[in-house]
Amino acid sequence: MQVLGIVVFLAGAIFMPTTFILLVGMLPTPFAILADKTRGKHKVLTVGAMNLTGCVPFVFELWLSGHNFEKSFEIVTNVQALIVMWSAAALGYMINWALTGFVSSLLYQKGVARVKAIHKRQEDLVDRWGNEVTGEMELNELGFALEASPAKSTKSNTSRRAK
Amino acid sequence: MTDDKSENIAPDDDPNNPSSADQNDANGASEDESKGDNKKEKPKPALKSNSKGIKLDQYLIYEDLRLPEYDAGPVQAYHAKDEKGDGEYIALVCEPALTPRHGKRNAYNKIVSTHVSKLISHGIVFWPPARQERYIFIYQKNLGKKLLQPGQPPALGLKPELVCEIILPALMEVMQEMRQQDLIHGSINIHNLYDGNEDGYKNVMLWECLSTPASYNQDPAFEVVEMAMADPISKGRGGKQDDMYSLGVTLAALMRHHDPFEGLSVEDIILKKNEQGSYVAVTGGERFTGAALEILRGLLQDETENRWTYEEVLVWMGGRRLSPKQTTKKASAPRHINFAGKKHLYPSMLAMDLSKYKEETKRIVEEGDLKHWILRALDKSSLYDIIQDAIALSVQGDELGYPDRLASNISIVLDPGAPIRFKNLAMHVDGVGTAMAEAYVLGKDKNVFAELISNNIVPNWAKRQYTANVDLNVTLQNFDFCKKVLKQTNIGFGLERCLYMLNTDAHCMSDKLKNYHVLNPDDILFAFEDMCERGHIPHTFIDRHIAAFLAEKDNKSIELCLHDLNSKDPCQVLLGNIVCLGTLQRRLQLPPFPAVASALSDQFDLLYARYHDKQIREKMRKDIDRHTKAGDIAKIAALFDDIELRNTDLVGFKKAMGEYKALKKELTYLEAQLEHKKSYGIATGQEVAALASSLIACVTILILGFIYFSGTGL
Repeated sequence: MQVLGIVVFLAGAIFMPTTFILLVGMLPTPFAILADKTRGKHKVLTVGAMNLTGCVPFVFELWLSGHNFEKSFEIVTNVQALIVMWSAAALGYMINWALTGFVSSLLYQKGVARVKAIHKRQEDLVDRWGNEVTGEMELNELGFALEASPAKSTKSNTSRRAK
Repeated sequence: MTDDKSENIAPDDDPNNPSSADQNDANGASEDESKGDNKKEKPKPALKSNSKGIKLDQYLIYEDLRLPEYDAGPVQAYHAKDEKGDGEYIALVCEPALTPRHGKRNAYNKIVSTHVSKLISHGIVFWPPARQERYIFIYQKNLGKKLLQPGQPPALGLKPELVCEIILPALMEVMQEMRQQDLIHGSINIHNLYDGNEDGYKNVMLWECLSTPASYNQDPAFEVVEMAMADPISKGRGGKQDDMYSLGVTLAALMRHHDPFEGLSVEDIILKKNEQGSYVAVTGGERFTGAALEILRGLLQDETENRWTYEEVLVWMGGRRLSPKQTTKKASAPRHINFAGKKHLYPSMLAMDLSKYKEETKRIVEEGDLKHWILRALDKSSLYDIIQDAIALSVQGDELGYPDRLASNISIVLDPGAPIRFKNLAMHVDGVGTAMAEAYVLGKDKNVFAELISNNIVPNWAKRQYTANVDLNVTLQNFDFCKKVLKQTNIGFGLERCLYMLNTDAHCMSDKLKNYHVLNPDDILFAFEDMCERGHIPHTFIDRHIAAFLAEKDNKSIELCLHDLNSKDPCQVLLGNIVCLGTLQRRLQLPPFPAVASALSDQFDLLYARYHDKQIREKMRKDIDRHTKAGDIAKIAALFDDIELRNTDLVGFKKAMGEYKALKKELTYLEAQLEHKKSYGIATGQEVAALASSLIACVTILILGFIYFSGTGL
């Protein structure tokens, strides 16, 4: 990480005009870092990626116009440019909100469906193999309940299932 | 067996059936016939029956037409005809307590002689008067009248020439045939001789010997003392020389003018023969000369080795004069021994009484009376040495049984040729089986046989035998096996097993089959099928008797089921029953038994419950229902006894248990997560958003880069 930090710092120093644009244009991203308390910091990635996308056209414009500090300053002071860059970050926030809501809702429904499927499968197993399959009773070496005879235990399964 | 088993034609059950009147008529007629020896012969009344007859093969037996003159002791004779109404036959209806010698029927059938009745048919039929199955022998009715009329003493006073030249050759012809077939008659006596419907004794006939145990009906006066000492039911097979002795007494009875044994008890007859020697006792002091004297002296020798053999009689009949040894009396002591109020001079007579008075036996042993009598009166120190061995042997075992063992063992030493006397029984070793069968059928005490076997009485007896009629090695092996079997109380062992081992002719004496005469393993299934068809369904089929019977007759059909049959688990017991019956059906290639299969199916739920998998149960139920309808017990057994299927079921069950456990874990986790609906899936959603945003950013930057750097500009 330290090596990466040094490389970024050196790159920032060498490409100062670009760095200047990115420092100003990507201001929403550090705020996202502060606001995101989740472990993976996925919201930062979402916002940061979109924020970067918003800055890229102006960085390209700087590179094509000689990559000098004056041009850089001109872009940064241009309100329209700032709106574009920061709006891109806002779009990142929107993507995060929309997709997270959609996916979590989808997953919840899936979880509920899985619970139902598990109940069904368990019922099927009990129906096919008897109550002993639940492992809730003491069994002999052949897998039959110790307290009840096999015949009785099968009957009790049936009656329980009927309920 | 199926060949033996005949169609049962039920007779009229009407109690007012006038058949009894006919029976009386028939009996009366026969009595008239028997009495009318000196009267003018009346034409024989035709025997008529109101009964349809009970069918055995192509013969009809009329249960209301008795022929008492042909009874073989308690075995009653009935009139029989063939289906076409031709021919007259005698049907002997055997008693279940008296094991018939059906194992000897083939030997009897091979006898080619005009002096015995031909065995026409035999088998098992339902006998309505007894309301159970009986074994029946059907003989040709050509015996004629008895030589000895009822009430007449066994002393016909016939001329010796007539007896030696006409009657003896006829009997010798029979003896020769029996000898060739290794058949011992056991009941050669004057009561068993008939005139063969010819005057002048030209065609004397000897009646049968198969319907009761060997020698059961023999008159004690007509048999050697060693046989007479035994209980009638347990006289055993006897020996060829015993038949020769009986022939000698029969000849004497034909020639003598009075019965020297009239009014005597069996014990008195034995004592008389001991005191006087058989020749003098049997002839009653009558003087015989010439040929008669020779044949009687030759045949009435008390010592078996001195008695004329069949070959010697033939030589004598051929004209060669043989000089029989003088008959010798049994050695007696000069001084008597007081025992239970009697004075005994003969060891053999003392031996007879020892078991009757076991406490008195103990007294004479402990007080030295027996020792003094043997050493001083009999002067046989070697005999006393053997008695000491017998006493030492008797001490082994529990104290309670000591007096019985002592009496029995000393009795054996004093009279080695006599039957084994134990408690209230007197048995020859080869007659123990028939005695056991009688005890089982009549509900007598059976423990005495178990004690006899476990107290080593037979091995002790065998040590004293030198000229026994039985193969001692085989006998010892059998009783040794019985002793081992007795120690096991499980089903398939015990005293029941001993019964069927010692009596190979015995029918199965299971209470479940009490109305059936089961002689072979396949009979068991036929009997059960009949029972089930009538609605008499037993809860379990294989009991101790049936298991022991099968273990002896067809061990392979039951040996693999014994573990299940002895289980305490009713499920295992049921499986054992099914597998055993199925194995019988398969091994003996028997027809379907739908009634038995249906009766068994009532309990199949127990066996279906042994499978966890409902699908396996349903498939099995379907297959087994099909086999049940078809009466295929073998296939039912194969399905229930399929270990591979049970393993598959168990493995599947364990797998299902694992799956259930995993599902349960997953469910717990999911339910816990779903409880927090607001936060559920947020992290994943943010991941997706980050991914989507990154993708959009990458694509957009690439497009912008292309636009700016390709010179197109915005």
